[in-house]
Amino acid sequence: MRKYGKTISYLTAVALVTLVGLGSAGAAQTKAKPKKPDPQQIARGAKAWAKTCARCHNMRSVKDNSDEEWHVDVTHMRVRANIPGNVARDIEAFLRASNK
Amino acid sequence: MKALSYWGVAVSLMTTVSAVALTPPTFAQDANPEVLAEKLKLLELEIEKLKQQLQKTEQKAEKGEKIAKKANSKVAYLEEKSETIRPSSWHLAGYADVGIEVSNGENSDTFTSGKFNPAFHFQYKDLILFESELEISTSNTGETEIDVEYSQLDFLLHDNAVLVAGKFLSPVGQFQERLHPSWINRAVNAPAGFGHGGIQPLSEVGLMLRGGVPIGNKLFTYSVAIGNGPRTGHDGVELEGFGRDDNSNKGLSGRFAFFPVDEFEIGASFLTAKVLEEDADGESLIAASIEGGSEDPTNSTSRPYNLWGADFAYTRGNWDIRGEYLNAKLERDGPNNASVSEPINDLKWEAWYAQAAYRLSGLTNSTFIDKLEPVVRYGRFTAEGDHEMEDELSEKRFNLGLNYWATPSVVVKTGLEFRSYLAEHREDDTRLQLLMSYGF
Ligand code: HEC
Repeated sequence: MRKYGKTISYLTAVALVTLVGLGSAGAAQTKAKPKKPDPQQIARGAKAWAKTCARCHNMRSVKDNSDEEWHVDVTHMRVRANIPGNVARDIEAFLRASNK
Repeated sequence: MKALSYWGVAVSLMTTVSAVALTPPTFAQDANPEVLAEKLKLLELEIEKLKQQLQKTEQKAEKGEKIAKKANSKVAYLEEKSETIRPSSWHLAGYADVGIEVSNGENSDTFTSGKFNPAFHFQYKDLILFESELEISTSNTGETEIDVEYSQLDFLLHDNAVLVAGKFLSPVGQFQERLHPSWINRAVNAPAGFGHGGIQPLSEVGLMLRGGVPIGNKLFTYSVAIGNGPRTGHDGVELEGFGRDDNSNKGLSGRFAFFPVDEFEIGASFLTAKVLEEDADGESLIAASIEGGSEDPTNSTSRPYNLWGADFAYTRGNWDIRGEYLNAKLERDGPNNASVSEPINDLKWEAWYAQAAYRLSGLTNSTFIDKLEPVVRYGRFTAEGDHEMEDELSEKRFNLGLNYWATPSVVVKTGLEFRSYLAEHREDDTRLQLLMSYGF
């Protein structure tokens, strides 16, 4: 019985964290990414890209990926490299402006 | 009336007289035509200068307008070209490698692995990312092996926090989470004590909270995980993510890092857990010499296992310099051991390496030399507390290498490895290595 109690409390904790997480992520979503390319954001992104993206591996060419691939990839790197979300959005804007 | 007009005449006369008296007799100066011409010339020059200035200003304004127009049309172009990102988007990535190792030691010359690691990333809006990487390889005996390197859901909670759930690479240290893919690692293989069979935890199954927080203009990062934790196994403590926990004690691990300057990162890691004295088969591995130890695995005692580490990375221009230290200890002293005549020592492990690579780009006009990168690494791995383990693991490893980067993620690595085993009866060996890797 004690063992089940422990499991249930773990599960509840996980469920709670996930729910709270999705809720707040949903709230953040509404302010995410402006639709129009913003030259200032692109400039910020270029700077952040230069100082962040060669820390672990060689810098890949900006032309290597499509917009959608960069979108997913920058999120992947945001998680792996603990990059703050706003910085990751700037970098994505820069990459998407430069791969054309 | 009359009186007034007299006064008027008087006043106007006085003003005229005083005006004439106060004004200098201008005709006296203007009378000199040379001076006048000189003045005129100066004025003309002044006007010419002003005209030129005006022209310059106009040109500048025109340029500015052009730049603004260009920026606007670029924005318009981007707007037109920019693909709409579908709410559910994905990316297929990963890497593959193949190599050769020639050795003068106990090992025979061999083609190594030929690994294929496909990685899948699926993202739904800015809410969630699913990422998974498989490792498909051929075993020494010829079977195809498939391992799940990681398979995790990342909830993008907040700009400074991501919740990770599932099987993920261990956040402890830098080699495993950041450098181990062969298109990233600048050396041919892992340093001694890192990678499979080492003491750097490989993966974990559980939950992890991680993110980056700017403090002033400096970045602080954190990754903290709670999971099933390590287990005892045939090689001592197995630091991998297990699908189920074999004891109710969860493993807690993590890393905190800080960037004093943009190019320099320092990190500190830890793992604290308890492992059972016996492995899944009921075999007592930790206290092998205990007689009459409990036979029933469910009755087995848990022993504290603790690890800590520190790492740094300096990446600037052509330089890539890194180092890492790990220290782990399994306590074996405890109630079950009280009856044993010989003392049972704690098991201790220590591993460290330092590595420097320098890319030769920009030094000459040769595009070939631009792509070369010499690398040097020295590391040491030691175990303590069990003779057999000490002999098997303890070694010093010195590597010299030369890499050719065909593209940022296609590399041919060559290396010379000098292994010096600390056990007296083991012969040192030297290996010549070649590895080709492609990250896609
Ligand atoms: C903390 C180290 C680190 C930093 C910083 C980093 N990366 Fe990565 N990157 C990795 C690792 C590790 C992989 C390999 C992932 C794998 O195979 O699991 C990778 C893979 C990639 C890939 C290959 C596709 C993929 O997602 O596996 C691309 C492209 C990439 N990174 C781009 C970037 C960009 C752009 C940045 C800057 C925003 C960046 N990286 C910053 C560690 C890092």
